[in-house]
Amino acid sequence: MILERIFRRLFPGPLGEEIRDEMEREFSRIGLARGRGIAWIWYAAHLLDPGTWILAVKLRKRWRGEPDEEADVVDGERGFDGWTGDVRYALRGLRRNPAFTAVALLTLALGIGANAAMFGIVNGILLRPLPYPDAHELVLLFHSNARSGERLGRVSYEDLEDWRARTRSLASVAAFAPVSTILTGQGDPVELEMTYVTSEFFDILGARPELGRPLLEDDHRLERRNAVVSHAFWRTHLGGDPGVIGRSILLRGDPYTVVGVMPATLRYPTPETAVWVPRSLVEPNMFSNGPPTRGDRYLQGFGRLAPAADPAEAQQELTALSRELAATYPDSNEDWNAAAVVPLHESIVGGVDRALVVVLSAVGFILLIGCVNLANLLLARGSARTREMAVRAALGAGRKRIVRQLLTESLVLALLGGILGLVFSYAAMDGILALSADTLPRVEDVRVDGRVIGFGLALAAATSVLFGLVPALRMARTDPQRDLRGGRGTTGSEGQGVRSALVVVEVALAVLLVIGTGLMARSFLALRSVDPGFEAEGVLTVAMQLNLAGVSDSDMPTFLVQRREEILSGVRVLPGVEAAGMINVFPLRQDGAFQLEYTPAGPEAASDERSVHADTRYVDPGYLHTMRIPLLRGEPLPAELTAGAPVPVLMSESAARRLWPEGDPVGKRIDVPWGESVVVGVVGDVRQIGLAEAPPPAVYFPQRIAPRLLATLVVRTAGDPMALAAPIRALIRDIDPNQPIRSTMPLTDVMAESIAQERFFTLLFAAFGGLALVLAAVGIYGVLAYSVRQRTQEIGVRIALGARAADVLRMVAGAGLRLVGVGVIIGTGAALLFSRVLATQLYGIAPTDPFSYALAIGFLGGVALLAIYIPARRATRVPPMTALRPE
Amino acid sequence: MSLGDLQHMAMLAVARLEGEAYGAAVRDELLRVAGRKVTVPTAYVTLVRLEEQGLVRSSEAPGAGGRPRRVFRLTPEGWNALEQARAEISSMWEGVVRP
Repeated sequence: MILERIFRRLFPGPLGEEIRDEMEREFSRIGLARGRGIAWIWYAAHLLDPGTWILAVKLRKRWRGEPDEEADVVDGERGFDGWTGDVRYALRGLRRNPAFTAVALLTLALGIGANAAMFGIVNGILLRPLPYPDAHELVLLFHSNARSGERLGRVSYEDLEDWRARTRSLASVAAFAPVSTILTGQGDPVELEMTYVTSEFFDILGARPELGRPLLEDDHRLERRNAVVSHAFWRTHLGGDPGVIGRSILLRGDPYTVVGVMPATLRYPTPETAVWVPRSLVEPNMFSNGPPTRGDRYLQGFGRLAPAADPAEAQQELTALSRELAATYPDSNEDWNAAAVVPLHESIVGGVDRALVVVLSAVGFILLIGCVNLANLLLARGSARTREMAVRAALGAGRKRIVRQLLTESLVLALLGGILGLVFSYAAMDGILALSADTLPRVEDVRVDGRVIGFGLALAAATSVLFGLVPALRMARTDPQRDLRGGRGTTGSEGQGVRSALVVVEVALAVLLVIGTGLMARSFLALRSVDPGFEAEGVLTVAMQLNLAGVSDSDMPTFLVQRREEILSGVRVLPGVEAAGMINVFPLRQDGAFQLEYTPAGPEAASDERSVHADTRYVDPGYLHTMRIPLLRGEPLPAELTAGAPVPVLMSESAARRLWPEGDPVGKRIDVPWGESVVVGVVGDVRQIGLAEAPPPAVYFPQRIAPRLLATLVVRTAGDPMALAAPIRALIRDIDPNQPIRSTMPLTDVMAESIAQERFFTLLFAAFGGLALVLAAVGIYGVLAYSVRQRTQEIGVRIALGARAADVLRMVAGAGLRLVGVGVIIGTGAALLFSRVLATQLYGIAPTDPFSYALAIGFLGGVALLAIYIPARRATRVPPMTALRPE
Repeated sequence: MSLGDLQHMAMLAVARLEGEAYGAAVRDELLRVAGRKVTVPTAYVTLVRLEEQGLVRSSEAPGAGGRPRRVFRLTPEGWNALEQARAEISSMWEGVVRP
């Protein structure tokens, strides 16, 4: 048994054997009397007995014949039960001072708990390796376009194959393309996330199916409609059937055969990915208007580094290869002459790593502020214990011994607080994750595990030193002669000096946090008030992927056009509807977005080098009007298209200006994949990627030209947009009972969703900033109130000698304000130094924004004034009689 | 030399056991007479330290089942220390009446 082996090593030699025998005898006795379970617990608990370890050291030294330095009893050491005695004494002390203990435990629990919770989140998201073997070797591959400035662009299949054939820094190369599909034939139609993958995809991830097999080379080569499904999909939609291999499922009306089920740990490319199918099945008209060619960049490159290669090397190599390809295939690859290689971990968590670390630091500051408060509390309590310390010293306890006793008390307090804090951190972690509302990646990897518990306990131990050392050193500095006679001890002016210094430190920390909060809040407000380019109020959005079940490939375009018309004409006559329109890719949501390059066409453009890389959208004519996107020049898109005439398009202002910096773009022609189009109008820019990103150039085509599967219906109404939700759903159900609807929400909610992550971090910061403020205020109040208490006699004398209330107020408040003032200056200086760290999280304001600073300082000043005023006021009420009372 | 509380009790237990003061017996005596419960390692560490301070001396003696055990005895210094401790306590107790 492990325990027996441990004790055999701890207690060697003949004496050790005797001790073990004695323990075994005791074990048997307890086993008989109270059961073997209790006996084992008793046995294991010896590992927590300090005596065991001291004995082990002694026996080892004896066994090896080494000298034992500990074999002298100095400093009044009371033998070995000193340590357990200290712990018992500490617990007794805590029981005797319930108010102090409650405040201390609460402060510690909150501080350590918040830190443990944030560490748990950082650990799960940033520190824990991805659940794939050698995950650090996994990288994403991108093609970069020098001209358009796109660095992280998708890759075409042909380019990828060339990279794969010629690369030496990548051991294997694959690609994937996430799309959505509709599952039918099993109750209500359900929209699912599906991914097209190339043959090495599962190998690179090291993913082995729990049932069946992965996709094989033949599946890709022969374009078999075989599918591998996720564990979650298998459980919820296939009933967890162990005989599922060979079963057929209908995706967009096409039958696929299930050949494998992946384990629950495979959550790539997204946790919601339900089905993986061969890339060769990619339908040509999904991504452009013909079969995919070298110029169709729709794949996400994915690879595993070769041993001893690093991402920078791979990037250099792929960039060189890209340049060669650009020279060999100028038509499709001109300007695509660079590549980017990004580690997979970074691509998943890169957006939040900095913000999380900043929040973790903020929470650390809060704990520091709490420690300062505790230290002050202990110092104040210390003066009540001067007698006790003096007695101990008189009985022979040296300074080291007393410090050890006091530090043990702090450690006990901190560990108890730490355990409470860990319990609290479970709830805190859940609360923070709930607040994050799905904006954080890898939340499924966040939990309270051994590392978090270890962190919490280590933090508790460190905290005990932080708040306990200074008071312990001060209290141990005792002069028994003086203190036993009732001298001043730590209540003298030097004690006050330490306390004041601590208050300055905590005010500085609080200022730092509150300024950070102010900056984040202003930044968020600036973000919220960004003009998106359309009017969001009063618009309902209904997102869906049109259901093609039973429609042949050749009928698809006509069907899609008709289906859209059906829905729009039905919606337009519903009561309350002012306007309605449709678009394939909705602003602020990027699923399905793609860009094409446009150049001027026509005879005069022959020598024109200009081009623009623009977002390509397909709209029905009512869309821009419904969204109130301003038409700056020309005409809106016509309702009908003239056969034989060039297709009319609308360009956004930035796109038009890129191609024609001077002159009127209306009437000019551009090259498009199927020929030429004519610009009939220029519209305002719209924020497509996010409110913080500048609006990209955009080109709007009539959706009849290339009807897409994705459709977002927008409906403007005078009243509450959600009131239209039910009638619209009913209408769509009437048209096609199998049409799933992805989401129905007001446009204002879509906008809010797009800044949900910023909102989360701002709220988190605000919560912590508020906590810091409260703790600092409590600290300021505590120190001032204590000082007033100590100076009661002096104040009484002053009042007796004629000082007015205002003078006393000024004296006490003045002292407090001086402390706060110094703290504010130091804190502001620190904020100016460290604000650069926040710069990446801020939108629209500089990290040294004076208004935010002034606001934060003003706020803290107000709270501090209140904390100062109360004890100052109390000081003015000291009756002069106290001057005459003996101490 | 001033004695710790547990050291004092352990030495008294050794004195009481008169040559039968094995580690286990000292533990049992502490429990039986003074109601004082100590863990096995604690008892042995106390005895080992007393030996290091020269207050007790140990020797090997045959034990049950043929395995040798260590027996502890007080040294003259140990007896002196015990008597001094007793004298100190007695003097402090003089004239002390519980109110």
